[in-house]
Amino acid sequence: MSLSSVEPLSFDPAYSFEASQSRDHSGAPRQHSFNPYTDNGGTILGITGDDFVVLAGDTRHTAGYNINSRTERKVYRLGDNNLILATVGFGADSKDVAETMTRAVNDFKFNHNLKNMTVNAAAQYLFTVLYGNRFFPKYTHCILAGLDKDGKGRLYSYDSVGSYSKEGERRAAAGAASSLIVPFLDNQVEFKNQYLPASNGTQERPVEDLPKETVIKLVKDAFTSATERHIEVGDGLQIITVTKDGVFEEMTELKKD
Amino acid sequence: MSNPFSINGGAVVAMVGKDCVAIACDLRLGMQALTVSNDFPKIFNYGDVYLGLTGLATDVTTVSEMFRYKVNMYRLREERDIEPETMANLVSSSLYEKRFGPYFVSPVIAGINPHSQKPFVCGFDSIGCIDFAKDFIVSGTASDQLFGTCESLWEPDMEPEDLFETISQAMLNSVDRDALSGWGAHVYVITKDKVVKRLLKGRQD
Repeated sequence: MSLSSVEPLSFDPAYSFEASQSRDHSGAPRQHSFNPYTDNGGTILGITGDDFVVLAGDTRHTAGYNINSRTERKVYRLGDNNLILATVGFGADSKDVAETMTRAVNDFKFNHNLKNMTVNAAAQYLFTVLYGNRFFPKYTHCILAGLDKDGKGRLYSYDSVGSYSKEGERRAAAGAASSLIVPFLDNQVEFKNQYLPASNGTQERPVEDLPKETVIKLVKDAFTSATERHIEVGDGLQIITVTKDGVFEEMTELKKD
Repeated sequence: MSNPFSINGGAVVAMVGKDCVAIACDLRLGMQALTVSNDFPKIFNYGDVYLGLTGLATDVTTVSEMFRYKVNMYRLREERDIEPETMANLVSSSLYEKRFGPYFVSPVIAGINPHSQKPFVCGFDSIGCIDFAKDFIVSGTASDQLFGTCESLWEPDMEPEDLFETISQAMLNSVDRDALSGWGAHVYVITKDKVVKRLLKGRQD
């Protein structure tokens, strides 16, 4: 690995106030600054199947080279229905977005005769929340998932100011190790660069929905690999699965070094 | 983007298998976002040793030619080919000579030792610190992506055919997620009595 590609994480470990050091009375202008953001590391990942959807995230929470927590979950269930949200980036902003969404989903239920918010409605609402902060953005990348009216798995991923695809996505990853995980998902979920053996490289392998067991295996592989090579990923893995039978959470271990 | 390591772009990866090694490179040469050439291989052969170089293209050429000279001089003095382990130390000391004005390259070595028949791969930073690896070495602008794919796809003791498929998939899927690498690839699969070089077409965009 080249020296230059080892770009240090900004080791200003946290949001900060700054004023110039010396108390001179020369009348020279002093510059103050306030940095409201920090990056708390971690990675999230989502994959859809035909009638289920899986969201996963590691449970390490970092500030620079420090580990604040090994058990901080970042995949949230929104209310008591089929909606789940994973957020990564600045921990405080991420939590705030998750709380705002939870409140919105609950309010919707009580204002609409106990009808649950649909996943596409929640997706549009999340856009509104994020874009509402367009000029002081929430420093967080979101992946929202759930089952639609027909019971099909749906997945939406967002940047920090809310842009997302209404068609949804088959798979998404965000956070510190997304650059490690995304090409693996391209290959193993969308079968990129794979061709039918008999076709002599002329016919692409068709994309198909994967069974749940395969998806869980891919998620675990992706995270053990990311843990091996990225210092901000590790400790624990939280996997939430949504099926017609409900929402299930699985916690497994990742390396703690 | 004034970082000399990411002006021209490029990716190299090497992997160890069972009694075999493989090394692959992409073919792009760019000037920042502009692609200048799609036939700029980054792997160079010195007898039994294969050297991959990513980084600043002018230094890739200079360093590859410098080692051609040095390895030829070694061959004349010693009356034998250089071994991979010896080459690793030659690369290391040559780069460290330029400690305070380095060549902007990240070299990778792959080869099979002609005496012990042991597969050998290693990588370096631009000032010659050697990274001996049992599994794989990555370098270049797609190194993050390569770390992800290699760490997930690689397994121990692969036969040459499986090693070729693994290194090719790792390379192609990584460079497809890096704007500065791609435009096809060269893959060398090295066994004790033969070397197979293949050209991968890959995405041309």
